[in-house]
Parts: sequence; C-alpha cells; structure tokens
Amino acid sequence: MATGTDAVVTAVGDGADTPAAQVIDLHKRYGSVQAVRGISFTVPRGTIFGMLGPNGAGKTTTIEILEGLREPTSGATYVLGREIRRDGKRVKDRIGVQLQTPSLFPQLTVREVLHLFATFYSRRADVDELIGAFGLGESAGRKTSQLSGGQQQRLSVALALVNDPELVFLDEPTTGLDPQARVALWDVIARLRERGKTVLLTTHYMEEAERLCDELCIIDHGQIVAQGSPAELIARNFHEQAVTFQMDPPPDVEALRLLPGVASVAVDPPDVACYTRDLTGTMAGLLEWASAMGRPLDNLLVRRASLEDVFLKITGRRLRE
Amino acid sequence: MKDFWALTRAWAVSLRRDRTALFWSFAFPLIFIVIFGIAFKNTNPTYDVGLVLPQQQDPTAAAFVQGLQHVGSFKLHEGSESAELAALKDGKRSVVAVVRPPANASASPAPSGVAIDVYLDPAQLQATQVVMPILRAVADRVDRQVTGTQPLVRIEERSVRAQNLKYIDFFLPGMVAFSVMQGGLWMAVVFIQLREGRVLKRFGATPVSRPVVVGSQTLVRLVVSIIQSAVLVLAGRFMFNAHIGGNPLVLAALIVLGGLLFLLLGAAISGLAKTEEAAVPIVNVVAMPMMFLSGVFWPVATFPSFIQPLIRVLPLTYFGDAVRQLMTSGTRIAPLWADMAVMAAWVVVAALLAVRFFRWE
Repeated sequence: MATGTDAVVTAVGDGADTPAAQVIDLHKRYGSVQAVRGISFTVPRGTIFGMLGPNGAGKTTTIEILEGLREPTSGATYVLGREIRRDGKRVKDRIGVQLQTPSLFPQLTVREVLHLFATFYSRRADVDELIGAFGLGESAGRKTSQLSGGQQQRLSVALALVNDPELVFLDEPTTGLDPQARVALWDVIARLRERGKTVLLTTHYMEEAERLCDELCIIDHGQIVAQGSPAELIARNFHEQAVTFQMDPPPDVEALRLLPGVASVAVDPPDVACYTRDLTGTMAGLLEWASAMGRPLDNLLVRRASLEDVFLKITGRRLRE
Repeated sequence: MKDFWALTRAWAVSLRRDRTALFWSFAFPLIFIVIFGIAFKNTNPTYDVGLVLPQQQDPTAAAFVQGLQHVGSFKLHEGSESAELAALKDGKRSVVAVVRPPANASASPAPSGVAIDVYLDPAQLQATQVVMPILRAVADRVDRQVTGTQPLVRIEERSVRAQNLKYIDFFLPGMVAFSVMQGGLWMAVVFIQLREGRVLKRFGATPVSRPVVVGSQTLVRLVVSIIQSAVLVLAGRFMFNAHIGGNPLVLAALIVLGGLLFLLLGAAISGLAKTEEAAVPIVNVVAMPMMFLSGVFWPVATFPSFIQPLIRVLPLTYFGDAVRQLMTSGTRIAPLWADMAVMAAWVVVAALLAVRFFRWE
C-alpha cells in the first residue's frame, strides 16, 4: 500500500464531490430469472458500504455490474463519477476488485502474481507491504496452488489492492477464513477507510457487517428490503431485548406471544426468539409456561437485539454462514 | 505493451513449471518419434529361410547355399524337411527351400542339375514377394557361374533399404505437423480452465484489454510449437539420421500458420464445452480423423478413393504436406504455395468459428 497522504490527495483531486458509486434503478434478468429488481443506492466516499443477503439474493450480480463484468438489463451505474461501460479502462485503473478465483496462476508464486497484476495499473502499491499486511510473508515465495484456502483468500483480497485503488469491491472477503484471520482482515479493511478509501463489500456474516459497515443494505430476492447504518437498522426495528432459546419441535407461537411484555416472536426451528420490553415479566411468564408444559428451555439467553434479528424479522429467514 | 510482456512472461513461466504440460508438449511427441523411429529403423530386415539339403554333398547345391549366405537379409536355417516345413507353418520361416538331388547323382562327374522346391506361406505375402526374387536371382547366378556367364544380381537388397529410409523421412514431418495440431486443439482445455477458474473474468476487472490476454497466450503457444518442432526435427536427425532440408525460417512460418489455425479451432471448441471433461471427446472427434487420414503415418494415396474428398478437406493434410515437402523433396499432394493457401483459408474459417463460439465466462 502506498502512503496514505498520497491516496487522499488523489481522492480529493479527482471528482471527490461525486459519490464513490451510485446505482439507479438497476435491473438484471437472466432468461426468465429476475436476479436484480430495481436496486438503487449511493456509496459515499470514504465509507464502508455493505450488501447483506442470502445466496442468490442478487448481491454478486449487482457488484459485478458495478465492476463492469456484466451488462445490466436496465438502470444506471456510476463508479467514481463515470459510467464503466463507456470509460471502462479508466475506471478499472482506479478500482480494486476481489473475486473468488482459486486457480489464478497456480504455477506462479504469491509475489509473482502480485507483481504481475501491479503491472496492469498506472498506480502501484508496494507489493512487499501488501504481503506483510496480509500475513503472507512466509508464503510469498510459494506457488499459489500450494496455499491454504485462507491464504488464497487473503491473496485475492491483496490483489484487489495492488493498484492502491480509490474504491475497493470485496465479494465475501472473509468467507473460508478462520476467526483469527477474519479479525486480521477486518483490521486491514478498517484501515482502508482510515486512509480515505471507499469499500463496497458483500457479506454473509452479521458480525462482519455490524463491525465494519457504515452503511448497509439488506438485499432479498433482488430488492433492497432495508437500508441504514447497522445501529439505525436495529433501532428502527427493535426497541426490545431478545430472549432466545432452542426447542424442538417448536412451541406454539401464539402461547408465547401472550406472555407478559412480548412484542413479537420469531421461530426458525429449533431457534426461538421472543422480543420483549418487559424482561422481568417475560422471563417469569416464560419459565412458568415451560414448567407447566414440561418442556426444557435449551440454551436460554438474553441479549440486545442484533442485526441478525433485523434480518430474521425482515426476511423471515436466518442468514446462516 | 508492458502488460503484454508481463503477461507473456507469466504464461511462459507457468508453462515451464507445469510438468504435465511439458510432458504433453515435448516428451510425448518425442516418445512417438522414438518408438516409430526404432520400429522402422531396421534398414535391413532379415528373413528366415529354411534350407533342406540333400544327404550327399553336391557342388551345385553347395554353390546355391554359398550364394544365399551372401544375402545379408537372409538368415538361413538348415534342417530336415519335416522340421523346416513345421517351422514354416508356425510362421518361423518366410520360405523353405528344399534342394533335391538329381536322380542319377552317383555316377556323373559333370556338375549335376538340382531341383529346388520352394514352400511358401501365403500369410506372409510381403516377405514372399521380397524373398522369391532373391532366391531366383541366386539360383540364376549359380547357373551363370556354372555356364561361365557374368553374374548380375544385387537389385533386391537396395530396394529394401530405400523403402525404409523413406519412412522416417515421411513420418518425421508428419509428426511435426501432428504435434502442432495437438498442441493447438488441446488448448481448448486450457481456455476452459481459464474461463471456469474465472481467470479471464479477473482480467476483465483490470484495465488489461482482451487482445492483450489472448495475444500473449497465443504468442507463448506458438513459440512452444516452434521449440517443440525443433526438438522433434533434431531428434529425428541425430537419433535416426532422418533427412532434413528446407529453410528453417520457412518451416517456422509454416508452424506459426498451422499453430494459429489449430489454436483458433481449440478456442472454438472451448466455447462448445462447459467443462474440461466435455471438451475431451470433442477434441478427439476433431483430431482422430486427421490423425489417421491426413497422411501423418501413411501416405494419403493408400486410402480408397471414396475417402479422398474428406482427406482433401482436412487442414492437417495440407499442413503435413507443406512441412514434408519443405523438409524432404519427396512426393507431394500440392505445391507449397497451394498448401499454404488452403491453410490460410482454414485460418479464416477457424477464426470465424472462434469468434462465434469462444466464451469469456
């Protein structure tokens, strides 16, 4: 990665008043399948913007249209103030793209692949610095085919940064990483924002979205079903605390809803969540109900409502890893 | 241009480190040359000739045997009539010559005439066709010696040698063309790997243009084809003493033309197959007829006339013919310029197919 000041100067000097990315009423149809159905959003400069959604929701299609890899059926996209379809080469020179490409040059070493990609761009990051930042120092001289899944994943993200880009697209960057590597990568991504870069990422992980994203849109069936900062999304949907437990077969939802203080109930067997504004009343009622029914409350837990709860409430599904 | 050379270098380094690719590009065609070279190296094939001689010494029979001993390609086996005929039936003899003494052998002081019965195995027609004239010639010479006429034998051995020398010279240029074809067609699998491994897609997200990606890969493959051909030619020259002629630059140009042709066909095939596995039968369907019909292993003239129109359409026929007439001044199907013209036409056809079927994702 080149020096931070350098990057900031470039960002300010070149259309910094325009959003990093803008999507207006985007549609994409594959044959009879409507993958994207009227998505619009704006990614402000210097932020981390997340797209959260289950597989097949249209996240990857949207991000690949922005990257210039797919043609939209209708709608407009602007990246760094330009249309990528018209100004492809110029835009691609200034964006960083991470794709899931496990077999990229299996015979070349990590360092060779990074150097190769660096020659494609007019700006270059320091390859050795990248290697260090992604913990690839020990495997820098190894063939990429000999890397572990996690190392390959880190390489694919590092490749998105070889041109010290203004805007970075990360498509599920931490999938397949162990928890330690995931946290390390979160630090790298957070540092990108500190240096004035913009990040647009898709993710499966609630914790990742909650921890990294300034702004988030939840996508389901090709549409945005909710948008805002993680805190906003939680506050907008919940004023309650969540009492969760596991029960199989699932209990009668109506019975739970009648418990004192319960605002709503979500069931995704075997998980049960009761959202309450009166924790003491609900807990007392719940324990009484469970002992009367003779059913145990496995893994009983009380917590603040989370993004996971928002997702469950909005889409009716949990987002599993 | 910088990205072009960086990518060219990356493809080349990748190939150099890929043992499987190296095997198919260099070792495999070389093994072919060595096997065929050894199989047909024998410029003096030997024929097993069974001899059944009369009990008593007979000067005429002795002269005949002596004559046979001078024939380098004959291996003589002397034995009883029944044993030798049994050996003939077992395929251990090409022919058996039974020398029968004259009826009045005992008294006559003058050289006696002998009768020679030659037993043949119709299954060994080819051997018979070579051996019989030699036997006749030897018998004739014995006759002439006895009657004091000048001997005139030697034709047969020569024709045998000439035939074999021709085969390596025939086979080597065909193998060069065939290897270049294989290299190009099997690129279908490489293109599918690049597509399905999303390598092409990854390049699409960089400023690198598609012509740079395709051009650098093509350059590497054409250079590999030229090196591969050089290895084969040198192996043929130094291991089997094959006749090598022609301008190496013209040969390189021919290989570039043929390499491009089959590379484009490989690119078209890659678009027709979803997976590497699906590409294999398609490549074989394209390669097999050319392998057998285009005169790589046998002259196209040996095929029946109803196949000839097909042979005349296949691009490898002209590629092989062009390389062959450049390297050896042997028989040819068409003049060199005509071969190249047909190949150029095929390049256009293959390019159209590639544009139609090649897929980036």
